[in-house]
Amino acid sequence: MATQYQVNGKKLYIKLDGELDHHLAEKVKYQCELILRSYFIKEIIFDFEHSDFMDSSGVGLILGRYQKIHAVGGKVSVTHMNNTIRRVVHMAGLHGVIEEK
Amino acid sequence: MIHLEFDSQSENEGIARMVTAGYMMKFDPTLEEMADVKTAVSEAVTNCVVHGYEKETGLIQMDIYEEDGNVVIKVIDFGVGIEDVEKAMEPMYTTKPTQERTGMGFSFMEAFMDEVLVESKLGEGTTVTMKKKVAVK
Repeated sequence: MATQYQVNGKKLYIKLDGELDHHLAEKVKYQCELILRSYFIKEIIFDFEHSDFMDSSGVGLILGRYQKIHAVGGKVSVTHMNNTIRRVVHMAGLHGVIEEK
Repeated sequence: MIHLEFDSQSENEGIARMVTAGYMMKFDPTLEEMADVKTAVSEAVTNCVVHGYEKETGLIQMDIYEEDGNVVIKVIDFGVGIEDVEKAMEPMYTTKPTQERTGMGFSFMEAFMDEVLVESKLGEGTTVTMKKKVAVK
């Protein structure tokens, strides 16, 4: 399985597959930018159900998407985080700008 | 001891983490200890790929060994080097903000490991040495 992108109305669901490091973050960023150019998206939801690891490159990816979508009044949410990922999110202060579902 | 050499390509970041995780198994680590070390390695190797060699592909060496109840990990590149190590290690400082680099790499290494030592010389490369207590239970 690869990372899946699903547009549903104004929501973009990103179902991550694998560890969210610099390698995966670059791919997701690229796909995300393509989608945001074609659809009017107000919320991006990162789903970590099939991802059990994230480093600061993942933080950069989420923060980057937040900055883009916040500028048009949108938001970023995350779901299915394990404790390891939640710890990184908190250390980076991401929990202040994203919503956990 | 494990000695690993690989090209500075982003897909190898995962291999560096996997080898680290494999070596860590002998310490019977907690989930948290395992995640700490994997994250620190990921940050160090990503720095080599993103900053050390930038657009070029170069060699990254990684040594993992045990010393006095610590796991020691050295991540070495022969890239551009860091002009001001102290500045580079400041939280949120990055030379590449437009590429969505957060400047958190060294902070994460320091948060997740007990000791982080960075030695660098312009034009010669950078060596990051990280230690963490992982006494065999």
